[in-house]
Amino acid sequence: MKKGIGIPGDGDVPILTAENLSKSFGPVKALDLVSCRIGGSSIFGLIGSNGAGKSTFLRLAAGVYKPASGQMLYQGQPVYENAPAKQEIQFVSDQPFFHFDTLNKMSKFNRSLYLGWDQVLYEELLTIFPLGENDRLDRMSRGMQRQAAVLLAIACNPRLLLLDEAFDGLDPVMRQNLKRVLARQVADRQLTVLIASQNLRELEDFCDHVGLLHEGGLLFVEELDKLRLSIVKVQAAFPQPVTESRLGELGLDILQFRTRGSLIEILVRSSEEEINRVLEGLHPLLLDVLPLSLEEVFIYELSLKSYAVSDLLA
Amino acid sequence: MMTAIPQSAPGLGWVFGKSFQRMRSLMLLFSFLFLLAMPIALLIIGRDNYLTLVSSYNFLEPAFGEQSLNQVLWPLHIILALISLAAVAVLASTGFRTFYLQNAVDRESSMPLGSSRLFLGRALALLAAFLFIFAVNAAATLAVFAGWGKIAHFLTYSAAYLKLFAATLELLAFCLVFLALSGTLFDAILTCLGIQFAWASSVLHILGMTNRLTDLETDILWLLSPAARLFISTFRPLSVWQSLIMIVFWTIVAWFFYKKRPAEYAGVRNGQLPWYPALQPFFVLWGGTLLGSFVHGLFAEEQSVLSSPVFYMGLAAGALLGQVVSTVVSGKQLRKTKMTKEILPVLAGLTLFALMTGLVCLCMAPAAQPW
Repeated sequence: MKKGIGIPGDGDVPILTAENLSKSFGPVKALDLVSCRIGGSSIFGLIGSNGAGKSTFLRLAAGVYKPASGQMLYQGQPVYENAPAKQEIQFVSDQPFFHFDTLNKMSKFNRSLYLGWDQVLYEELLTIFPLGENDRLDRMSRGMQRQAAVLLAIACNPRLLLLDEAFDGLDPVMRQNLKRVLARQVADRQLTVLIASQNLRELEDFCDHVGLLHEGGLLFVEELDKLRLSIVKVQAAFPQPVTESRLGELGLDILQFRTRGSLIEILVRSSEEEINRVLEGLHPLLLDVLPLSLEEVFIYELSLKSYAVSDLLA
Repeated sequence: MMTAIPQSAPGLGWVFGKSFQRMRSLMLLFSFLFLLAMPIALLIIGRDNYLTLVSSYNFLEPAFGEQSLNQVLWPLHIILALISLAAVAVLASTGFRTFYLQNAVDRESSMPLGSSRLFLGRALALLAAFLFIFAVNAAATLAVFAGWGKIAHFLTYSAAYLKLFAATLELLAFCLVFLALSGTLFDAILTCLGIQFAWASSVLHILGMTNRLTDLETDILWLLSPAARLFISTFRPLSVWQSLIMIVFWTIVAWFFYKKRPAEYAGVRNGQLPWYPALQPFFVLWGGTLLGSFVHGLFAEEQSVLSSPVFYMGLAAGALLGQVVSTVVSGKQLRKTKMTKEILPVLAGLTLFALMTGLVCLCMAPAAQPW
């Protein structure tokens, strides 16, 4: 369970590599032997239960924390205390911090600090995110502060952008704006985004890959489309009673089987085509094959780990 | 396989500039307070009053201890020492306050700057701020004395002023150690002040027990209380070289702890940090000397302290009490703590007491002056 798995991304050199990464806070193990590789020009969603270690993973990726053991590598080099690597990494934590009180001053601060600062992009982003350059940042709402932090981070033209709960506090329009901006940066500038969030619905239509952290271990790393299509929910009714074992004999990998009167609800690890092909042979009166939402996949995977969610899928 | 990453541009100068920029207004405020305490105060007193007041004393008057102070400059100098104390606490905590907020630590630790560069840039900005404050005040005071045709008074006073500056920097460097070690700003200030107060108080008790005060050799006893040195420098001839060595020493210690400081210290109470047991012997020392001296004064005043059993009983009880207090302050539940863990700091504190007392007895001068 603790071992990291999967090799997402299509770049030859992963932009970020975690090798047997562990981090503890006193007796609490926040991350335990996590291994994964994140390829370039992609959007990677990091999901997980509360206290799973998502923020810790991001802080290790940003070089804030020193790994207790293992390594966090940016383009093959350790991130911790690596100033040149940090020139290309931007981390927006869940509570942004600003050294100066206005966006204007902060832009000057970042301009003097980051070699990749793009003034044209900054001005363009200001037209997308309606923030006053001379308004006091500490008097802005949480959502506006987050917009300011993300805007400043993107204008630094990083290669790796780490976002912790980036959509929290943003209104729906701004959320879409942010997604569009990030998608464009990924396409045009080979940006890689690693985003940790509890809001799975936000990640669903946005990420290329997702990784699920639970109790400090990485349960899986998967391409989102493959993940959603690999497990489907089926609602069906048949003229004769059908049992779980009967469906198993037909070659279906049944993960969960429930009946409600004559209606059967099953979770199957298989493709939609395969399920249709198998179940059509039983002449169903009703057959609905539904892909699972990311939230349902999340709940299902955690239920396998005895997390208290087993009934939520019903 | 590695790919090339461009070298980072911002250097020490960048950190220095930004840090200095952030403490500029406070630096100006303390410069004004310095001016108010010395040259403006002198102008308010007036040349004639000044000369009348100092006419019956000269700079060699031993009643003032430090030879470069006279009757007027002595209280003004003490006020400068008090303002210096406040300036160290305020400016140092302003320069390093971002240590204690998780979001600030997230931001700063992810910036393309090494921790050594961040530390040195900030420390240099603090040094520059104090240089500015002291230099502006010196220039203004010199101007006042020059206007009065008494430049010699300023030149004589400058020795005490330089010692105050050195003692201020020593205190600053000492504070940086605790700022680098602590999890919250409140704890950093409290620990820094607490350790100095406990140390100075214990030293005074131990010196009082021997009823002797030696000369320069016992200055070593004040090393853990640079705040006291701000004021001692007014009364006693202290070596500027000793201060310089201690400034370098504490700065290196602070830099070491800053470099080793994990980001996860942010917001954690000192009592929960792994170095806290090293602090507990100071609670023991303080509690022991305080209670020991108290019960001795109460029940066996006529007897010599070091040969008084009552004192040692009070010392032992106070040591245990000090340890209990230190554990309670750390937020740990007494019933959950192990006896062996509690005894070790007590033994360390008592050893410290024995060493200090031994040192004082060794250094006793035959004709030492009472404090």
